[in-house]
Amino acid sequence: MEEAKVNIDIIFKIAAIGILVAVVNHVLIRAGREEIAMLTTLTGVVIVLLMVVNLINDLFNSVRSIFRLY
Amino acid sequence: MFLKIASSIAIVICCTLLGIHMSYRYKQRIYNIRVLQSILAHLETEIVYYSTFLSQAIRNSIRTLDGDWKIFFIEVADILENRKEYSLAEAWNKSLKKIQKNPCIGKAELDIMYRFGLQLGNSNRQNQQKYFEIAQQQLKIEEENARQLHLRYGKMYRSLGLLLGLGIAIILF
Repeated sequence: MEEAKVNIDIIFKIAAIGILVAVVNHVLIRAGREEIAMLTTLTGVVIVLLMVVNLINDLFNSVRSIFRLY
Repeated sequence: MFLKIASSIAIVICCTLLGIHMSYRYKQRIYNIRVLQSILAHLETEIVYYSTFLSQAIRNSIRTLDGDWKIFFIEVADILENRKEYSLAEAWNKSLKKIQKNPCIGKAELDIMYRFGLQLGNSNRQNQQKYFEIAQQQLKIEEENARQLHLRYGKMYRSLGLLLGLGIAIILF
């Protein structure tokens, strides 16, 4: 149960970061700074990837153990 | 939990204030240029019509005004009165270097004032008046530029500050 709660938290966090990055992107493009907007998007993607990398690892481990691919 | 929420709010408020501070620079730059224009107009009258000594003329011109350029003019007048440097151009450049790092003063105005300082006191009245006019025209163009930058980036920095604060708070939560 504890595991599931953590995952839900992380999903909300990722959603919030996504919304924020979208808004920052919009603001920067309106101010005519496309290159920095691009950079923020990339930063957002990297931060989210860093957050989910453990979960992806868990997923791959589960897949391996379920299908016995050792 | 309470501590977490309180520190998140503190982060958001700090970043918002930072953003407001960054956008304030653009506003203050417009104000500084406008003050500089009126100082120059005053100085022109003092020099062309009253023929006051330059240090006294400068002191008379800045008496009622404020802004970041005031420091510069006070410095020039001080140097001239104490005879620390040999020429006006040296005093002018030394004082310009002092306010160069001020974020509310743009590089363009510094450049205009640098070139203006090289000409000040080098020729007769009509010629001096011409240099004042040139400086005023250039400052007017810079004021327009500064206004456009303010419209464009002032709002951006304000919203970016808030959004950055929210981002940091969410990532650390």
